[in-house]
Amino acid sequence: MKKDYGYVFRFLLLFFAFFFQSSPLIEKISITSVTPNLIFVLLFIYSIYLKDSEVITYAVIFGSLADLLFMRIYGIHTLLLVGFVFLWQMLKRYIYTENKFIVTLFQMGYSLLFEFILKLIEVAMQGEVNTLFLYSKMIFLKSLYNGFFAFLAFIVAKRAHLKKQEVSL
Amino acid sequence: MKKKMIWLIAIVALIFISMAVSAVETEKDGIIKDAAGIISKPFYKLFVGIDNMIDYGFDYFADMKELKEENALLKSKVLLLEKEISLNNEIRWENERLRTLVDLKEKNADFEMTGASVIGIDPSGWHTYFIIDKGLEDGLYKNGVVVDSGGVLGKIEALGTSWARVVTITEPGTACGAQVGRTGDMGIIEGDALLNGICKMTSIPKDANITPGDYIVTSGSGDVYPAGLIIGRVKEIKPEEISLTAIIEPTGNLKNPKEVMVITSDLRLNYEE
Repeated sequence: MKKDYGYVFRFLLLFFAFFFQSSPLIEKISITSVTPNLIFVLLFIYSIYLKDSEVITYAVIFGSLADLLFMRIYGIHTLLLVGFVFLWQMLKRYIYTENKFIVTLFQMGYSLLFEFILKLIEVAMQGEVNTLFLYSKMIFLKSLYNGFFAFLAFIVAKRAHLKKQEVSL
Repeated sequence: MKKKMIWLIAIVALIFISMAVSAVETEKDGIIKDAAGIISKPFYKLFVGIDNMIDYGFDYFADMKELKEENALLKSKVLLLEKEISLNNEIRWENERLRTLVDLKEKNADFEMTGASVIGIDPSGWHTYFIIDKGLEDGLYKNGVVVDSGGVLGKIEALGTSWARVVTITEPGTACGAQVGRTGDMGIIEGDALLNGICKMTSIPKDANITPGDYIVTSGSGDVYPAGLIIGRVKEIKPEEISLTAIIEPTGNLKNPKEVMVITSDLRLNYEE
């Protein structure tokens, strides 16, 4: 049986996405200073088609990298990403994941929740929880932008998945 | 399923332990954090290179449209010349940017400074952190002040061997002593979530002589920012009950910083003396 090296490609894609989204290059695709969270989008799409151990490993690696480079305290991104991947893996059997619009809507909902929790932790650490509502517009825009990228990524991932199934048959 | 749950609980527990360990403040960040910065640096440099190529290559591609109308021989010659011009432009622009930084260095001759390039920006998109390609081995220290040709950008919050993370002056929760450059009226510069990319100066005396357009400089109070560095210009003044609050537009390029200067003379020693 032919060995599947797809995980190398998936890892490299996340690797590229991480450095792209945290380099000045991301400004080229920002809309009113809002940039997409590509790692979150890709992990969500991966969760639909891959087994949980692989996606949780990615969440730990890239969450850790984000924490180490950009956060005062290690673990916030990692914990949130692992938690969300676990949530997606638990819920995916109850959600119809064949339709791209349903997937997009769910991604937008999850993004809202993720960005809200992340910002809540940040403002709580700064001792300014009362400012949380001020970020609502940007969080909403970010979730819309993430939804758009999830829509595109889902189309590509679905095609790749179908092709892989055809080959294995 | 039970095995999976045990694994998950172990991962979460490990993250919590790491959280507790990382919460302890040290002069130099831990070896893992440092290693992450060192490993990431070349990849960030690659993306910065692509970013620069897009910026500087725009004129080159615009000219390509005109060149298509010319004959093949001339086109190939022009292509070669264009390539050279594009390269020269890149050098010229970089030279101009660096020259402004050198001018700044001359203006602040009292401090020892080192130039650094911005290689990473806050992935959350809030413009409150960025990563530079210099670190402990270049003489940087925690809370070292970072400026560009426009003015103060922020201070070093996390430090690795060859990289550093800078927190900007617009980050909510940060504060620095400031004064009106023209009159010397004192106040405090604070980041504000509401202002998105700009900051405010609070606690200005009610009778202060301050008008929109005034330059705001650091006052030197506190042990981070030295006196006399430009922060920004007054955009708007809001009277409060017992004091005035001014909205300050930073003159430094906080939205898309590229080349910066870091003060390497340890100002804390001067304060201790």
